[in-house]
Amino acid sequence: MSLLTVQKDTHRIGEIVVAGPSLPLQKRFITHLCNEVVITNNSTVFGRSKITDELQLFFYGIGEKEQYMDFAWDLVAPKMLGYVLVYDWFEGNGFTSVQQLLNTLSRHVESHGIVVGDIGGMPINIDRAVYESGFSLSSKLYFSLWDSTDKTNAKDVLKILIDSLINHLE
Amino acid sequence: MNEQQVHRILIYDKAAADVERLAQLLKDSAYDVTLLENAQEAFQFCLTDRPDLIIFDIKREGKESEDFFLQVKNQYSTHRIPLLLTIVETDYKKRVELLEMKIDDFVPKPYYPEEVAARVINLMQEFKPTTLLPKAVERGFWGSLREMNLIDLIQTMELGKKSGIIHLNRGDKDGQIYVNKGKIVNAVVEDYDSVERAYLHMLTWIEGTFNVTFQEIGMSGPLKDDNDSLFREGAKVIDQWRRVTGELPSLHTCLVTVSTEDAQALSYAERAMLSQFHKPKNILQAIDVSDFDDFDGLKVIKSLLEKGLLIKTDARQPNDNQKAATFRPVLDRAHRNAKSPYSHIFSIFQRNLKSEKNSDLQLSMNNNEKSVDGAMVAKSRIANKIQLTKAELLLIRQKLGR
Repeated sequence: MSLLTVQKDTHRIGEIVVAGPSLPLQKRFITHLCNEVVITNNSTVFGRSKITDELQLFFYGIGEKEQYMDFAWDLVAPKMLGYVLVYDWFEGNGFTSVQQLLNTLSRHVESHGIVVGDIGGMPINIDRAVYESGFSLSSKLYFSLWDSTDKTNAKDVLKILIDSLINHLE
Repeated sequence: MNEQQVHRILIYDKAAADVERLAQLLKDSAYDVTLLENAQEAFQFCLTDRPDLIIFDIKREGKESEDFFLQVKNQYSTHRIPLLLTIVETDYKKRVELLEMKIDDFVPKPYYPEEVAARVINLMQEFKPTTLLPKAVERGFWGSLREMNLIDLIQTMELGKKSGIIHLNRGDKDGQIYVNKGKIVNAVVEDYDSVERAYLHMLTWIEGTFNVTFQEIGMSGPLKDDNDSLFREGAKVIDQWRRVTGELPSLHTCLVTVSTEDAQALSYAERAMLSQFHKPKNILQAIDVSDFDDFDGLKVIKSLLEKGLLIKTDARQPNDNQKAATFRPVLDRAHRNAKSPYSHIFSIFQRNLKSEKNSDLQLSMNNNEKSVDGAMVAKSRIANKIQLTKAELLLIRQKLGR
């Protein structure tokens, strides 16, 4: 069974961690971006998105709070492109969890990241620009909204993260 | 594996001296440990003594260890022996390749023997029940419908083209969805004779528990050829249900009629629903025993609440808790026995920090520093280097579109 096939001719991989209090949300985010997704143990999601034959993006979705500390940050963090923290915009506790995770993460790793609040298709009176370009909280951290009912919207979130990396290299 | 039997563990490592401490620890835990340095001898031992678990090491150089692994894998393709790999390999791709070859756990070297011993005990516990239980409960997972609703569960099975049964429990009611290679083939719930109606009804179970067991499903003929239409319809039902229930008290709230004096001024539907609440009943039960479908029932109850003809009561239906209590051990058992076919992949990213104290790989921890949630945090941050070039990032950006 080869559910997460590693192709031997693939030379370059960009790794992105997707975390947050709700694994289904992370799964949805990764599913919208990847053509190959594997759920493991009901607590982790792996996704792979092929950019070219030589370049791929790997997404690791980690769920429950306990997983954050058990996750091998020391292996992944030094080489990951960045992280995405997703939470339900309308869930009060969701933001609190993200805040705690962000505190923990920012002490662990020096990496680019984006925090996204999922509005789940609900009408919300916020400028469309927030979805498209987000706004920066620091030189490496952005905030944006995400509509999980719109399959294309996850790409907008990823664009913000990639743009921040490109800007950093310029 | 027999409960009374002493479990045999084979450690195959070309540097036997390095694993003596581990062997001793396992012996202290009442395991029968055999330590072998030669691949041929190790495989011969597997044939004659059939160990209950094998710990082996794959060196970067030489193919003996890999050959041994392949021999064991081929020999025991149907009756598997749990395999625990210790390896110096740091290349991520190589690790995933190894784990995909059905290795059950993985410990990077250098390791602490105590950690490996703990993992051995966990593996033994994981494998023990699966040999005693019917195949249906060998693999699966469980959880809360708040975390994963029915659509999420079916999507999960569809992604892997899995077959199995999704058991749902709403607290007072059970239901099952039968999935064959990712497609729904049957839905069963009390009082619903149509598969489609049963499926739609269970979509409204946004609170409760689920238990998924992977197994062969003999039925053929999916409910719909394309799951997308079911998902679209399902997402709409869940969304509507959340909206309507958001305007009501908890669906497990017991309500009772306060007055029927104005009953003549009510619609037929309202009178019919009101009659259900002469004795205290929770909202879900009232809808179940009425002739209304789920949405109509909710709307009528909402109307009666707004008119003040129904009030909350503290009366409880013992049935709810009793049923939930009887289902809980089933879930607990399933949870203990659950071993997802993918779970081993996660182990490469999982570390037990407690067992890695003083390890070279361990993050630098400061015992006096705690994060907001009380978890330990690293004193020093891990330096990060963007591994892709600007050209590659631009390529990704281009692929994502404007």
